[in-house]
Amino acid sequence: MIYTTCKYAPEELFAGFGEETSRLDPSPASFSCADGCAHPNLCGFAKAVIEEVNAKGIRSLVFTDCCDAMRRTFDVLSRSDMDFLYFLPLPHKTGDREIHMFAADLKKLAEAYARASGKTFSREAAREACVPRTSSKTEESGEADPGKSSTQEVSGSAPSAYVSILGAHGGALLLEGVRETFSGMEVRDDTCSGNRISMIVVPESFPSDEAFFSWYAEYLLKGFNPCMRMFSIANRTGKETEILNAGRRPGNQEANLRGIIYHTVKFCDYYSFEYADLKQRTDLPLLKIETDTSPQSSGQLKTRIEAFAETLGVRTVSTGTKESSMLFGRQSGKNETLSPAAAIKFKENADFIAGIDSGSTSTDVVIMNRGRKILSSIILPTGMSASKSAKKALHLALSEAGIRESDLGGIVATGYGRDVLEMEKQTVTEITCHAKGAHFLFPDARTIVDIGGQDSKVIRIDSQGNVTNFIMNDKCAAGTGRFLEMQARALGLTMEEMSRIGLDWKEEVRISNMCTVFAESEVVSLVAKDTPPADIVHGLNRSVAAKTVSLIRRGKGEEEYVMTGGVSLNRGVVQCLSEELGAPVHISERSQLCGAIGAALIGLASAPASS
Amino acid sequence: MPRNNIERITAAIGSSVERLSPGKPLEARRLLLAAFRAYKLKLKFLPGKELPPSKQYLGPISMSCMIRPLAHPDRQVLTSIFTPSELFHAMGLFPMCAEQFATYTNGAGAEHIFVEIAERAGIAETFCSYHKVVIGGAYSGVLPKPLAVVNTSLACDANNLTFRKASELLAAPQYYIDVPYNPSRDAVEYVADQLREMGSWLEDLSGIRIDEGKLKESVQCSQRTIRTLRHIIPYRAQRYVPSELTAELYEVLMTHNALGLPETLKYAQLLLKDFESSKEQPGRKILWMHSNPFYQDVVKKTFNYKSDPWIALTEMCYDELLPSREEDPYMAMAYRTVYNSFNGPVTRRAGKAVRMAKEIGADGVILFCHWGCKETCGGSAVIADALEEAGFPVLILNGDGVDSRNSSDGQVGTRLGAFLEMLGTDSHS
Repeated sequence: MIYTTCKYAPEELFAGFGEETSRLDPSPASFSCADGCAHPNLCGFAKAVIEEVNAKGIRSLVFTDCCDAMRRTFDVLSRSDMDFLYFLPLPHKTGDREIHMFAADLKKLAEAYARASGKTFSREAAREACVPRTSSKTEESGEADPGKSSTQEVSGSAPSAYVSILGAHGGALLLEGVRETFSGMEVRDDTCSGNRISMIVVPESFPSDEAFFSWYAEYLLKGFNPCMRMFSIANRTGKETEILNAGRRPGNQEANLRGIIYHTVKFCDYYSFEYADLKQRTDLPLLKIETDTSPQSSGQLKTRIEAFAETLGVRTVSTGTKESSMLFGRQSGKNETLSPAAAIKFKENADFIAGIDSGSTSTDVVIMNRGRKILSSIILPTGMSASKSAKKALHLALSEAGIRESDLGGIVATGYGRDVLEMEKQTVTEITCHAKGAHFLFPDARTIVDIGGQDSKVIRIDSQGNVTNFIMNDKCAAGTGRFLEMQARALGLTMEEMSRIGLDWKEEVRISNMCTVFAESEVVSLVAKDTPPADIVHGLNRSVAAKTVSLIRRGKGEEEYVMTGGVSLNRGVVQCLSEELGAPVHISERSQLCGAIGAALIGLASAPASS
Repeated sequence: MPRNNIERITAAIGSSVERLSPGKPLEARRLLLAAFRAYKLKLKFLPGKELPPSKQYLGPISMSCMIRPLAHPDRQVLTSIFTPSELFHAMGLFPMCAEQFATYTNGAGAEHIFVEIAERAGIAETFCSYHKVVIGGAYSGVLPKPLAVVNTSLACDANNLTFRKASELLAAPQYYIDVPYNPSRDAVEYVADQLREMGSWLEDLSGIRIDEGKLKESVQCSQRTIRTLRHIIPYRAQRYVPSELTAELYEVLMTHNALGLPETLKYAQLLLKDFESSKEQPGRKILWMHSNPFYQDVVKKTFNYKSDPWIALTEMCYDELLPSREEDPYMAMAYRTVYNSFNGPVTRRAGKAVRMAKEIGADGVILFCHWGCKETCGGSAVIADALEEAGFPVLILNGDGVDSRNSSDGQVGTRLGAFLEMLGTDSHS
């Protein structure tokens, strides 16, 4: 078995030797090996390749010159003992001169493999492995296998509504997760490693090996939708018309592409450029997600993808008490494609509903009656067990409202812990819930800024409280509640003190570091210079506000602004944010309950009329 | 916080540029240009007293390399640091190196806004900060529309992205020079052909004909500069000429886009004179690899005007200094590009680092891993191992050459200090 790393890898050349190839699709639990033998700031996929080679004991691997990270990964692995490790240069341009050079390099690779393996190259076997342009081979099952060539988008296939995953390699993990969420709708892997179909016609035969390699160079170099590292990227995605037109003509039946999930890999530079361009050019629903190929941020990923499905009116609702899946750390629940409200089953003749927001820092519960009146609310620290905290908070809220659990028409849970709560409940993402909750509190709100313990979110809503767009921070804690908590600790302040003294500043202090750890060391340095704590806190508030405004601008936020989440209690941050935006930022005494209120409202929306 | 008048002025300019850039890019550009001109005058008439004549000469000519293209966009070629520029010089065009723009913008205290503009547009936070500043400059309109954009694929992916984006945002045509991964005669000929094609393309674009005599002269000037600078290397093993981090970066510019200019040759000759007239001085000699965080206080305090420790050689001043016997000017430029130590497997760069360390008798090597530079970060372990096997202690120092927000003074100071302690006091004293 010859392993490869990118779609430009000459898989058919190895078929000419009777060898099977498999494209690596690693998803390591950690990067302990790669961080040591390469560098932590290397692209996540490159580091994952190093981990995979070590974990699987891979003996034969062919790199293509796709990017800096792959070049250096090859250098690192060159020091290990492998049977066949080869680096294939890849031109950036695709003119006749470049094809000629690439053909010579392919021939050199074939010669090197013949020497290493003792096998003979058969150009006829290689030719047969080349997929003819007119082929209509389709995936036989819905299972993703990025290790194999995918030929899902071929001429003759019936048009149907679909979601495209674009950008950098996401692999089977991402693809399966998206397909699970979007069951009932086609999901296409159009990432840099998916969709390997050459548009070059395969001749019946070749008179010589030289003729084959000349043709094969063109097959690889000019046949595929180009990857971002190529100089010319005209119609790179292969769906320019759809991208440009579909979103601009909503409801157009020709517009089969319903939404784009744009995936980037941490420390891979290429695809953020395409994303920056794409978001300017299309009105299609667009979700950007970033991973490092490991399953570490699967919780956040799940929230985003499910919320995106909700905005498209396609929602996979999970019901029951035990769920988990390969991607999201839970098994597959019962899947239905429904709108969020329609998915909620409300007990007949019941007058009350509970909304639970199980967040990373606090668990919030709201009990609401059919008249949308909040009867009680409870906020408890989440602590070590999301489930226990939720049960306790629910019990307290029920007690305060003076009702029993059996009086509830249902429980709607949201927040990170929503799926692990051991109780009968329906789940909705916190993005949809915050939208509904904020609309309830401030009907004129159009942009919600939710900063919680580990997330910052910007949610755009319409006049009905429906989500029209949203954006979230990545794994980094910069600009979140956790960032402020760590700095408060460094200053020896409580969060309440921090909220208060940030308003009493005298002189501007600039905290330039966005990184939580670096900022903490900057705070310590300022303390050592006797800088007044109020000025330092104000500097930190400004830093959080700047980071948040950047997120708001990326999400194209507009007035009226509402801030929710724990950080909305920090008056200094709210004031700085308002100044940076040049617009008022509304907060409510109930801001922290926004998610739970939204959950309860979504439950009520599906309640049958009371008899 | 500003501590002296220069820093106070810089802070004021920086905050004005940052304020103006998003809405009034032309005013921001004019202010930036005025700041560069003022700083050039300062360097010319009030140079650092500790600096030798060569370095005093170096500052103003480096500033000119920034001022000329920014003041004359119709003759500006926005380019990458590894693009051979003799053709531009011969045509009377002004190359403006992207990394140089980013560095000088930091010097004016205005880099953050450009980084922020780029990130807000969607460019990854993990992208190289030098290039983010350029992208931010293009998005904001502070960078003017140049005559042309010309770049090589060498030495990193950022070139493939930044210049394509800049070309699109500034509506300026682009020429891309693909540098093959494996150095060979064929690769040199291929690059030479592209340079010829680029020349014709520039002729059509500018209406200026290439004077082949002038081009030959410029390439010969490069060769003389290279020979002179190589002649200095043995002196670096014994003698000390005061320098500073900024001057090291100026020299990087001189040995890349400014090669072929008579001023660069004059600088090399003055530097040789300075070394010839300098005395032996004990001190821990450092080979510094990649760019440097010239703005960072703790690094400045450690190295500026210091003989112990002192940066005896900066890798990026010598990566292109390859003597060539090529008669044809295009082949000579192509040879230098293809055989640059940053091209090909990192073992080439590691091998060259070992040779440099040996030539100057380095006591230690600092490998600066600039934020977002996958070329250097990814190869750092291989380079460090090669140097350590050859007996040279190595510090891999993570930081950022432009954006102060990506590194911490405390962490950098601790690592640097500990490494220098590890090297001990000077062994030659």
